[in-house]
Order: sequence, then structure tokens, then C-alpha cells
Amino acid sequence: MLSAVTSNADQDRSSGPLNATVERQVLPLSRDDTSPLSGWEKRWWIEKTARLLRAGEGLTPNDDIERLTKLPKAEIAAEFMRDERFGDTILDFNMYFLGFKVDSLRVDGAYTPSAFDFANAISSAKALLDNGDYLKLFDLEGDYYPAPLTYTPSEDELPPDEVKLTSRQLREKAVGELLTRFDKLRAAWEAPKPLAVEDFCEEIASINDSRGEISAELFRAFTDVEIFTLMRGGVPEAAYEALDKAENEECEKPEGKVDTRRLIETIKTASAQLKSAFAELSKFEPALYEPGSVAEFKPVDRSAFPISRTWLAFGFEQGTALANSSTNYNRKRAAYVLKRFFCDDLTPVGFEDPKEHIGGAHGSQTSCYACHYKLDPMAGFFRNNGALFADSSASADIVFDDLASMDRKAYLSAWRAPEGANRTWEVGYIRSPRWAEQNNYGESVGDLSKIIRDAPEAKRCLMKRLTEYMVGENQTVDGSYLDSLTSTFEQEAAQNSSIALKNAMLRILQTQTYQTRNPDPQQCYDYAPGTKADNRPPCRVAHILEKNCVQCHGGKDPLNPLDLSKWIDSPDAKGKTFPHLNSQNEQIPGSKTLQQIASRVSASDLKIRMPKNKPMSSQERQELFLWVQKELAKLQTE
Amino acid sequence: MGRFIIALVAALWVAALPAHSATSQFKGLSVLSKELSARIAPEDGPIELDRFMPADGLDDLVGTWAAFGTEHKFQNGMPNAVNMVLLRLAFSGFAQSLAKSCKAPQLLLNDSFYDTLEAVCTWPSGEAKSEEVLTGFWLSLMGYDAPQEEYAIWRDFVLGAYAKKTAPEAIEAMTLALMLNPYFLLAQ
Repeated sequence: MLSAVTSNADQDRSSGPLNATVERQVLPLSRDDTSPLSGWEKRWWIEKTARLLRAGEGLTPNDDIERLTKLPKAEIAAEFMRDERFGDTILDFNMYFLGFKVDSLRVDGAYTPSAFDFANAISSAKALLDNGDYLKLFDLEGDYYPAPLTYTPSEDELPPDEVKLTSRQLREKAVGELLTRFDKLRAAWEAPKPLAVEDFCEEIASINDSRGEISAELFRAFTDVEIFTLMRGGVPEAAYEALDKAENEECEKPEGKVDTRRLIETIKTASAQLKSAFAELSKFEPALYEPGSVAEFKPVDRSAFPISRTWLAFGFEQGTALANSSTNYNRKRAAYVLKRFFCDDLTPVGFEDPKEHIGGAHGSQTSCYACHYKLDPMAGFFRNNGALFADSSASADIVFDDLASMDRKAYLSAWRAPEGANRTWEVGYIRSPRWAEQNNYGESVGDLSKIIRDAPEAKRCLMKRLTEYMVGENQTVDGSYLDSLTSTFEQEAAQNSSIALKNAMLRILQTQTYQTRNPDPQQCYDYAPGTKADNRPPCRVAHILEKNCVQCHGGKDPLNPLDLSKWIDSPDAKGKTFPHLNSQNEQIPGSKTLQQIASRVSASDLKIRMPKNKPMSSQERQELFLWVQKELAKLQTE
Repeated sequence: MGRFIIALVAALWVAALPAHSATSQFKGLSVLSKELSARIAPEDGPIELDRFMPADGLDDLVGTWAAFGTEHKFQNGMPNAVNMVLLRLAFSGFAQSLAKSCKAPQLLLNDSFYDTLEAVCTWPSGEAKSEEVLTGFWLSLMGYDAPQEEYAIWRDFVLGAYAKKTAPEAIEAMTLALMLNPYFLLAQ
């Protein structure tokens, strides 16, 4: 058997991507993609790819490996992508992109509640399966996908009369109790002998006064996540608010002036809204809803809820992890968006000094402002979202996750644009505190979604995360390769983002990095077409240097003593360094060169800061600076 | 048997070191369970390796995606003395269950692997030691994750040290040696 396996020479020829319309745009592979792998190695690639594209499930005895080995790799991958488990892979990757990957989306075949918690990850995965708009991943508002209702209380949590109830019966009982309160209120007025207006008003007020206890009774039948969903839809809070408003406005009037019709209509409307919301939620009873694949995930009908306008994509876990406290003013949420959607880890290195005094928190501290210049305006997109991302735009106060509250007007003043700024809010994605034209300003979360969709940084971030997901988080990937992958993705995504993503995956599956067993994490295996890898600085930084520095420090100018395009042995025999000559034309020790690079890159004084009079992205500045620090630390230990 | 296994594991580990970088992490029990299930379990009866851990909750110590700050990170994935011991215990339990399955099934197995196991259960017969049966056993558990040379080292070990042992002893050793192979354990 073994000899048969090894003698099965693989004549694989990797063909193009999945869609003929974009076939011509496939990046050439950096090694000869027609070179035959051994039979065993081809099988390894197939198994690894099966696992990747079928959500962790590798080859099974039902797979015809002999048939697969005869197919080109692109065709094998396409076959795996047609498998319904591919939807799980995309959802898993989307959750990885959002920073919330889990070990497994399913337990015993059923999806875990976590799989439903990231609405944009689901929308995007579903869209991809239909070759729709994959970039829904960047939408921070949209459809919402509740998990099948799951709450099963333990016996000791329940009173004796409820112990024998099933979970569904308990939910129906709790909902029934709430609805009965409203029905009783209406019945009290519509009875042949109705209550006096004063008593009727008191009955309404009593519901409002005890809304905490009433909600607690209702919530005993639901999980925290389910309560989160109810609250996002305004259940039961909107009903209380409507009653409260009507009662406050009518019951304060003299008895003959009270508009009892308004009161009764308010009760009816509130009751109808509650019934409609719970009827919609009951469609997620596990007996009725247990999706077997991502394609079967269904969104809740938001029109059945009092708050039916677009819901935020942030689910319960993000809601609790990204708390908005009374001191951080949404900065945690801003840092999350910058990190996850823009791959900006907020490591401040040589930011662009705004050349003017900046007031407010940390404003006078340059080192703090180096992050806050982008953090605070990003936080402003969430200025209407209080605890658990609850929408507080209609409230006088904002309630924070630390349970503090404050006047909303005073809170919003933190984001008022300065005079003469030509905009109301100082809210946006800020690339430079100095050159406003480089920035994208907006007002709402919807604007932020659009900014993310349009930002080249977000597409590059997506490709970076995709590469990490497929070849390993610690694997070094050449920047030129990543840029090239991004550029092709951007071109293709302009036509169809789902096909663009699948093609990007296909390209990564055929890289040398992916096809090498145990690749060295410090080594780059793939480069953009035309890149010469010999005698280059380490691939972690070579691309950054080429993009930002080599134009002047490329060894072509005899008057420029530093050449950042080459990587040579250091004259002091300590590691490697860049060619860098002193006034006597002698090579400067590597540590000195690196120290100078670090100080030039991190300087905020424009006279010494590099690159001179040229913008460099903060992400690249960070990466270069951190690499230099690492190299310096290495030299010190040698 | 213990000494042989330790020697083999050490040999395999050292042999594999240059290929596996110092940053390689465990795949985690969840991933390993899924891989094994696809290979040897029936569709409706997945293998849950955490069942063989010495106590509940310890699977968190052998590599898992879990909340860290505001996000999820892969945690406890770097091999260390504690998680290696835990994995050794879990895999021993699994290997013993497999070995005992010759007499009475201890695990739900798919038909394909059951046939392979049945053949190995005739150990030390010549049929059990045939290239076809040994390759089948190796591929059933390891898939193609390891290079062919790894299989050859494992086969020679089994045919040497366990040539005259009983089937349960041989199967337990074969399984454990295979599962402690870095190609099985570590994410590549």
C-alpha cells in the first residue's frame, strides 16, 4: 500500500481561481506551481486544505482521496468550498477577524450560542455562500441573528410549581404573566364598572413603579444573551416608557381633562408590541429552529420589536467585553475598532505633532496624545451608546457599564468639533492630526461602517488576518506580498467581494508558505511579483523600508551614507546591519545604525524625523520601530 | 513499556525539533478531537478527548481559544511540563480504550477504522505486522500530517520493541507513540 502511495506521482497543475471573470488577475506564484509534489505530500496538502475549508474536519473514510489527488489544487479547493461546512470556516474566520474566535462553533453537531453572537460575521458568511456582499463584515449595523432559545434553569432555581415545566413552558409562563398585567389593566378600564380615573392612573403608575421586579420575573426564563436581545429590541422597556409618558402627561391633569382614550390606546399599543416581539422570539424555540448550517441561520424580524430601526452588530460578548465606563468615554470600543478593522495596535511611534496646543484629557501630554488623537474621534462614533451598546440617543442621561450616569448633553460636548472646523462633531477615522485631508470624518455608526468599507487599511487588515488564519499567526509574511494580495483583492472586490475573498484564499493555499511543512516563522516564503529577495533586509521590514525610505537611502546617492536596501554582515561580527559609512568611509557598527534609525523614526521634531516631509502610516512606523528595538535587544544579548 | 515509549517520544521529539520551530503551539484538545473524529469515528459519535483528561476543566491548560482582555486569544498552547503531563495522561487513557476495544468496543469507531483495528488486534501475527495494516493504522490516526519518514520510524519502533508483545500492549504503545508525535500534537 505504501509503495502505491509513494509511486503515485502528482502531476498537479494549479489552475486559476473560482470565477472566470477574475481568472486573469491571479497572482503568479513565487515558485514553480507546476512542480510535482510526492503523492504523500499532495495528500498532506489535501488533508490540510480539507481541514481548513471544512471547519476543522479533515479527510474522512468517505472522501475519495485517490480521485482528489488527480485534480488540480484549485479544483480541490473549489470542491471543498462548495461543501456546506465552508460556511462554518468563513464564520470562524470572521470571528477570528473580529477577535472572538472560539475552539469550535459546534458541540455535538449543534451551533454553540457564541456562533450567533457576531451579527456582521454571520451576515458576511451567509453572503459569501451566495457570492453576495462579503464586506458586510465591515458593517457595524444590520441584521441580528438570535441563537435558539437555550435557557434551562436548574431545579433549585425554581419554585416548586415550576420545577416540572419545560424550558419552553417556563418561557411561555413568564411572558404570559407580563402580558396578563397589561391585559388586566385594560380590562379594569373596559369592565362594565370601570375604575375611577384616579385609580386607573394609580394602576398604571404601579406598573411603572415596579418595572424592575416585573422585568426580573420575566427574565427568570431567559439567558443573559436572550435578555440582551430583548433589550436591544426595546422589550419590555419601551412598553414601560410609553406608559410612563402617557401617565405623566395625562394623570397630572385635572380629572375631567384626562384623556383616558390616550391612556387605553397606549396600553393596547404597548401590549400589542410585547405580543408581537414575543411571538417573533418564539420562532427561535429550539423545537422550531436548529440551523444545520450557516446558510440556515435566520435573522430576527426587527419590525416585530418596538425598536425596529437598524440594530448594532455588536453582540452580547462584545457588549460586555467592550464596556463603556464613565471615565473611558467609549475609548475601549474605539481601540477595538482600530485594532480589529484597521490592524492598528495603538503603539504610538513618532506621531505627527499637530503644531498647536491641544486641550482636554491628556491633551498636553505628547506621549498620551500620540494615541488619543485617533482614539477619541473614533470613540465619538459610539457617543450615543451607553451600557451594553444600548442606544441612549432619545434619553436625557447616558448610563455607563459601571452603572454611573451623566447628562447626555454634557457627555456629548466631548466630541463637539472646534470652531471653524466646518463640521459638528470631531468624530472620524484620523490618520493625521496635522493634515485633515487625510482623515475621514463622520457622525454615526453607519458612517463608520462606510469608512471601514472604503478604507484601504481595512482591506489590507482583512488580507493580513486571512493570511494569519491560514498559515499561522506567528508566520512572518512579506509586506510586498501582502500589499500585492490586497491590491488584487481590492480590484476583484469592486466587482464581487465574495469571489474576491475566495480567490484570495485560493492564492494563499498555493503559496510556498502554506505548502511548506513547518515553515520557519521568521522567514518569508512568498513575495510580490518582481521582488528580488536576495540580500534584502529581513522581510518583516524590507517592504516598509522600500516603501518609505529606500527612495533616498537606496545606495544610489553617493552622498547618502546609509543604504537601507541591503543587509550585510556587521563589521563588529555582531549580527547583520545596513551599509552605513562614517566620514572616513568606514562601516558604522550595527547597533549605532539601528539606534539612529529608532530615534529618527520615533522623533516628533520634523527637522530630524524620518521620512522627511513625507507621510508614513502609523502602523508601518510602529512595525519598523518595534523591529529595530527587537534587533537592538538581540545585539545586547549577543 | 513506559521506558520504550519515553525513549521513542524523546527520539521523535528531538528528530522533529529542527522542523518544528520554538513557537509551535498545541492544536488544542478540541481540534485534536475533531481531527480524530473525522478519521476514526462514526458521523454521529464524535470522539471527545477531554473525556480522558484527569479532571474537568483541565483542557483549558492544553491550548484553547479563550477570553483575554477584550478579545479571545489562543492560550496555554506553548508546550510545558504541566500540559505535556496532562496530554500524556489523556492520550494514555485513549490508547488504553483503543487497546481494550479488541475484546469489547470501548469507543464508537467507524467501519473503516474498525476493520483496521481488527487486523491489528491479531498482533503479533504476521498479518498485523504487514505494511498495509500498519500504514492503515498510522494513516487512520495521523492522516497525512506527518512526513513519510515519521511513519517509517514509528513502524520500526513497533516492529522492534513490540514484536512479541500482546495485542493490547502493542496497540496501546502504537497509539500513544503516534499521538505524542509533534506532527499530531502541534499546529504547523
